[in-house]
Amino acid sequence: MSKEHFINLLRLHLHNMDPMERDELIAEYEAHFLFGQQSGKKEEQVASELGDPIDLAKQVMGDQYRPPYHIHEQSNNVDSSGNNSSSSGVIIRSLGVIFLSIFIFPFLLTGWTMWLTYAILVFTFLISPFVLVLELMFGGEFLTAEVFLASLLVGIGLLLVTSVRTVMRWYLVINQKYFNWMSSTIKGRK
Amino acid sequence: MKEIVQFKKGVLGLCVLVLINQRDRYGFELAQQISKHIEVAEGAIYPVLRRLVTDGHCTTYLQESTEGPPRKYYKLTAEGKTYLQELVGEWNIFVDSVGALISETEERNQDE
Repeated sequence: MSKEHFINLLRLHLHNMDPMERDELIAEYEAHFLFGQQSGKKEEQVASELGDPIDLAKQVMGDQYRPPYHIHEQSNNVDSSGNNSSSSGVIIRSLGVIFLSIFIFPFLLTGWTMWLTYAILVFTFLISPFVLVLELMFGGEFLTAEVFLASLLVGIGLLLVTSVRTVMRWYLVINQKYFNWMSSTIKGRK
Repeated sequence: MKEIVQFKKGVLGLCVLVLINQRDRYGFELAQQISKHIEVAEGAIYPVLRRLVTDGHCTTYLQESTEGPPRKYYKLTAEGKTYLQELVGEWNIFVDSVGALISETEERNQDE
């Protein structure tokens, strides 16, 4: 284990410690690494002599120890699916997901753009009477046809306005499903 | 194995106090000294040192060194000295008692 990895793990598992005290304690371990390296030891050797950082964090915190959230979730995954999240597996699955995402993301984005266009269109329908009023205020000519058109647009707008939200929710669910699938695939859950 | 790990951890505080009583020392030095005698995760002495400080048995001070980072020295307080005497006393009683228990049962096993 490298010094950086050791310190990061320690910091992660001391997440609910008072920040000042935590920094002070971590400074001790960092100094220990420096003293160790000064006496001719390799980082990895110092780390293994220090022991498991998670165990150390548990000793520091006692019954105040709380595992960091995502570690918790990961261990649940391992429980439910067997131990198939080896590090090489994670890398290969991540690469797969990344390449797939390069293909999928533009489609997801296009969907959002279409939704936005639709929302703006409906909004424009709804505010068309105000546009008409504005036009008259700035000296536009009064046309009966325009009034009819505006009221028609408001009518259509009102009919469509609830669908804007429905479409958004429906599309959000699709996006969510994709992201969930991505994260569970990387973690190696079936 | 769990028992071994536990009693090694349990005696760390005593070892640290004994070493600091001899003279002020810094963390790395303490870890080196202790691991010479007892095989234990060296990192475990830092939580112990922290507790000794919060309990008022030790104080710390920083000292620059010509090479490497500044050293955080640990110094025994007056309360720490009393506490150490008490601990050493308790330790001797403890070791004798456990020793007596072991030898007593061994004798009985031989009798049977």
